[in-house]
Amino acid sequence: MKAAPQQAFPGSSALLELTAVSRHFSDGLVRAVDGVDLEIESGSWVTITGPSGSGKSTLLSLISGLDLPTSGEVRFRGRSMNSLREWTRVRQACIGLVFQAFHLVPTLTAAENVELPMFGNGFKQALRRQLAHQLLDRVGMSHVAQRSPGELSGGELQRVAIARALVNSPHLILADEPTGNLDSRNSEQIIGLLKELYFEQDCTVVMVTHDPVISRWGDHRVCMRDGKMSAQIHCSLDDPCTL
Amino acid sequence: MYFVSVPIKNLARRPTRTMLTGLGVAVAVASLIMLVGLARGLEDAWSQSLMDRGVHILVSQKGAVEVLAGVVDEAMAPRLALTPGVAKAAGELVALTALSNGATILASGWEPGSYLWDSLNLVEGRLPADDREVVLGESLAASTGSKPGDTLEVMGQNFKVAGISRNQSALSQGTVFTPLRPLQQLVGKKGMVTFINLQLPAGTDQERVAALTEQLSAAYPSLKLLPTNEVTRQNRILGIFRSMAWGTSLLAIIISTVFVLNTMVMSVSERTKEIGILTAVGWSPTRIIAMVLLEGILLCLGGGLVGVALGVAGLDVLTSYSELKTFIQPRLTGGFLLMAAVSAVLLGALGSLYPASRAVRLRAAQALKRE
Repeated sequence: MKAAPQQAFPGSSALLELTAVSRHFSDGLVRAVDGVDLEIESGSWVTITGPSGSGKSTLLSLISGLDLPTSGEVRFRGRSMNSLREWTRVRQACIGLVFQAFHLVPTLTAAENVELPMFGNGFKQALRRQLAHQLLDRVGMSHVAQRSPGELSGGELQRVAIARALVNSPHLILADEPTGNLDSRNSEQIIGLLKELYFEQDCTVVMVTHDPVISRWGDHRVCMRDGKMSAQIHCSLDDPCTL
Repeated sequence: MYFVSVPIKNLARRPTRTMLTGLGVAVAVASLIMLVGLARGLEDAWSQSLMDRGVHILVSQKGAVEVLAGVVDEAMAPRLALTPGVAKAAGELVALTALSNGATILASGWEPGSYLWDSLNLVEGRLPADDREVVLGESLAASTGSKPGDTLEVMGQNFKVAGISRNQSALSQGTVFTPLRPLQQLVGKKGMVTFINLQLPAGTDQERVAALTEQLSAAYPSLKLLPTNEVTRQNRILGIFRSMAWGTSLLAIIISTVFVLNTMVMSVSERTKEIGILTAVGWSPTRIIAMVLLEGILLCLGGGLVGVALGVAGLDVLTSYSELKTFIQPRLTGGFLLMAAVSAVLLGALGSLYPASRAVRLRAAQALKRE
């Protein structure tokens, strides 16, 4: 059982708070996210599910600050996040991102990709390299450290991407369909790895997934439909969510 | 991995494009070095030839478009020599002429007994003993294969080569020094010289030179007097040549900047998704802009260094194996070469500014969706 999470700010355990958050495109004709209210507690594992086009990935973009809402407010650790520049600082210090398409830089080696988030935190080159190799070792990828992404399999790419997400010891891991491009065996391994890291690192995980099996795991499940939150189920890790 | 590794790897991704753009920069920098080097070389050859002769003030016709186009009465020389503060004065007639082999040379006519003959550093033979003898600059002697005792045809008249002189100025190296009278007859300027060289006593400082120039200018209003160090700066033809050199170089650099801009815009557009990835992992806009700028600067620095090497080699070839050898003394200073390399770096920064600003304009969520 995971230990009780640290409080994100005094008097509240909410790491992220979304209030009436909307993201519209094409002058409001497309309402990808429409009036979502959500609170994510520090230390929780949240899954966001829903059919294709329901707005799950857009919601994750708003939670990670890769995009800004058209209206509404996103608060991170109690602070209202209004600018992309502010989000960049928060992402660099506190957030690790894992994507369905892995999103590794093709011209860099696996180890160099893992080093990328450490630029800007003042680490010397030798320390960056050491930490990158440690993380690759942790995800079982130390043998591919000097290989470029083009030489790696899907499972290997996602493990490297996870190492990159963890390199700055983030408080929050955001994963957008992390198993979407993997076969079932690799999917299980990746989810297993994320679970291990979740317990080890005392962090919060928000995962977007299609997979009904994966979505059952966690202590908070959010269902999206047509940009709105259609259901929000609280459960426990001992008693997984079921719809 | 060092930060600089990221732009280096980006450049290495498209080697042909990188090389071609770098080559464009190299050509621009090489043309800057060659054209400006030629202009400076011409100025240097001109001023060095005056220095070889120990000239402090040059006296020419006022209102003439160019010093070499004017005429001054040769009788002015002895009058000017009487001025207190002037040690020596000597008239000189200069003419551009072609040899029978087609090479263009300078002919300088000096009064027999003029102090100017003393400025020649003879390496072979002797000074002319009469109006039928001449001294050749060493380069001219080498290019015509002449030696003392040989005959050289100048403007249709045969002269005997009395001696060969080695002087510092490229201009003097390619000049035939004749007695004044026969040259005046050949060019139809009897009793006239192109300018008068004034030599002041040894140790005269620039302040005194300027004061005397002013004094003589007031005393002889029909004459134009210039201290030696002002001659090249105020020479209109050299000025036009200098302006053309800088203008052409500037044009090459502008064209090159457009090359770099095009390359960097393409490079950034191709990597929109990667820039989104960098933003997603926490790279600030400033860091991304720095990466793109550094990429452009590295590209142009590489091209610039190749351009410096090409320019130096090209100028050397141009002034060693062409007619320019007679008139130009290439002088490339470290400061000028550094300026050329720095201009390449600035070119890189300038050509990358717009692509860099474009790189951070797109939101990461949109950038990550790009293929």
